[in-house]
Amino acid sequence: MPIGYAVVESFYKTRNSGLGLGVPTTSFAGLSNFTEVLTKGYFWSGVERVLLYGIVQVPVKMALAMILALILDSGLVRLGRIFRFSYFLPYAVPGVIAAILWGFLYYPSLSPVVGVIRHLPGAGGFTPLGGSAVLWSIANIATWAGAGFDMLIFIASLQTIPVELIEAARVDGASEWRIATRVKVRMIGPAVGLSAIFSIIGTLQLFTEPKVLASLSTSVTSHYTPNIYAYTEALVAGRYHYAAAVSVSLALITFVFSFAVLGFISKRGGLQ
Amino acid sequence: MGIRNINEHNLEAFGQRRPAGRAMKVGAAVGAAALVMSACGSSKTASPSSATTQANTKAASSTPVTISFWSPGLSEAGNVALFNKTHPDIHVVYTKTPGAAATYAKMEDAIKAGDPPDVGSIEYDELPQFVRTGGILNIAKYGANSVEKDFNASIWGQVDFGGGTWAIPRNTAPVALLYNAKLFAQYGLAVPTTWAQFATEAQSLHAAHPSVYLTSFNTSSSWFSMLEWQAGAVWFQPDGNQWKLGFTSPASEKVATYWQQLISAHDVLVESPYTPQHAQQLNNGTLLSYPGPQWLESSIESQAPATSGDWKIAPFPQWTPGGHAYGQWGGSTDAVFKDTKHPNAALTFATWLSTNPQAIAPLIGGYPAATSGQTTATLSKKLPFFSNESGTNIFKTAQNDTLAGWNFGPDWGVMKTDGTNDFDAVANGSSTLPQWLSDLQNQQLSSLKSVGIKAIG
Repeated sequence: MPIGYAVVESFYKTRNSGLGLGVPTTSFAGLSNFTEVLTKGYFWSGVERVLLYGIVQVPVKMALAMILALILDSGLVRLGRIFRFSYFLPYAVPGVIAAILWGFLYYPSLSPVVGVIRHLPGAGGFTPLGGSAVLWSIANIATWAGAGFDMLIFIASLQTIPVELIEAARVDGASEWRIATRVKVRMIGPAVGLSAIFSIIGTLQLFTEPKVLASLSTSVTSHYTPNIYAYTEALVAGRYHYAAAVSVSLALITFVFSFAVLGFISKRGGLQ
Repeated sequence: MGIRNINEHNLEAFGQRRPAGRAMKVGAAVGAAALVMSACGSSKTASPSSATTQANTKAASSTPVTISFWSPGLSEAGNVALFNKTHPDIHVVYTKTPGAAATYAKMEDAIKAGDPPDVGSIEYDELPQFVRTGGILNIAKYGANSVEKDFNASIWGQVDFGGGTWAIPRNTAPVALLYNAKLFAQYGLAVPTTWAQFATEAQSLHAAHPSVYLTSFNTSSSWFSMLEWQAGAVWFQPDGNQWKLGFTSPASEKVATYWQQLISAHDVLVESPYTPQHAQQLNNGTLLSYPGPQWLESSIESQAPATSGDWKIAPFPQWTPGGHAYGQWGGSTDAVFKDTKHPNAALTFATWLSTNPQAIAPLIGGYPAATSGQTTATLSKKLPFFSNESGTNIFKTAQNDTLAGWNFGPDWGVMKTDGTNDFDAVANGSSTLPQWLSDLQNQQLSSLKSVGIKAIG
């Protein structure tokens, strides 16, 4: 329903005339909103930015989650429940709050961390909120919040692996390392695929963290990500139809990427 | 209290939630006190505007009507109660809305849904955009112009444009130079009266004390437009059926070149005014002054508590020695929305809020738009933070000598965000302010064209 409404809206345009101080008219505009979205540059620069972000952040987050899951699942750790809980805890912190808290840690004059890092050799110009660095500062927040969630999915999935299978590998002389990398990781492939898709969708929809950090960093613009761009066009500029076109374009790109990843995963699944 | 002020605190200055909250509590207490004072002294007042209001009330309706009112301000609740008490035939239902940006989004949505309030607070710079989207009523035909005489021409011009009267001005934001007098004395600085003197002092101060700056260039389009307004630039000038854009006019470029020189020489800091860092720099003596509007008083007070009593208020620096030209940054109006069923009652309320002495008296942290409001007890109250000065006469002059002729464009929200985005390049040195102006003009030309509005460069 909402997508249908957005699609319909995206084909219309509200136009003024002259000084623009009379009552505007709304008329069918065909694909002109989309033409503007796709040619204006702000949309693509936002998409490029979130893709660059996703290429780095998603693998890092999932690798971290996998390592934590395997360690906790190996039974080598005492107090596993406490660790599991504490790794998951960041996920329970609302995104806005997390971004505000990290914002203070990134803020040069307030942060206890930035000053220390700046004293390290070669890191004198460390500015987590500056220019290109802010994207990775955002990635860091998302990783901190998301890794624990992925870890839980992986642990749940690891626990469904039949004990006989692990026993058999052990009897065959496999080390714990080989069991982890050759048996466990492969057995939970579907769970990994699922969280990869969720992560990619989340990446394309990046909004909260950059929106909050925008008040601390001049580098986070009002078209920083496609979602922020749609928000700005609708609620700052009042161009609802154009914002609908931005949203629909983003939805299409998200579909394409999700299905591409889904295809890739099921193809690999078929090979096994 | 302008919506602007709420906006700065709630939305943009996330680092200052707590101090803002405290300032509001203090404000509310002072407001209550002022209300009591005004109640004592109100019997003598019977201005022409309140007579108009009475007449409108009678004309509006003989049975009680209910109207809704959206505003994010601080003194509204008390005023609405007072209005309801004194106007038995109109009942106002007040909804306190969140900060400015969220309020406008809510209003735009309500207009789209056909269910807007009868009256709502809108800042001057956002008003043309509401007119553009057709959401508000032309109140000229309901007699709004009968109160025109209560306001300065420069202020009335902000609500009366494009062949209509779109709102009643309530608060304004006259400007001054707020400065840390203790540190000025310590570094042997005189209070600059002209921009030329300001630049010389910025340079000599920073040369002698590399960690100290006279001020910071604020990466906020609204702050910069305040400076442009003062210099006589007009970014949006109606010219027949089209807008003539003046971003690259000589007056506009003069301001840009001036600040670019200070920025290039690193004589001023370049930063957002709503950050914890800015607060810290005001607090620890890195920043010595802030050219800005009257509502900044409470903002600086909450940002820099350690410097309480050190600050003073001086007239805004001028381009010509002895000159009296001023711009503004902020202030809000009350507009009547087009779907109202009771335009007369709505206008009566909006007019009462801005012109009735009892409604003006409790205004805290904002400056009354009506000229009759310039002598309220609240405005002449001594401010301990500012060395027990009140700045009454300074702000009065700045209000009365605000340049007429400045217009906010029909797409100001877009301009503001584009401008703030582009300041990033100015801050990191890859662009300059004159370049910023010409980029902004080109962006406006294309964005206005895309919605069918005629504009020329």
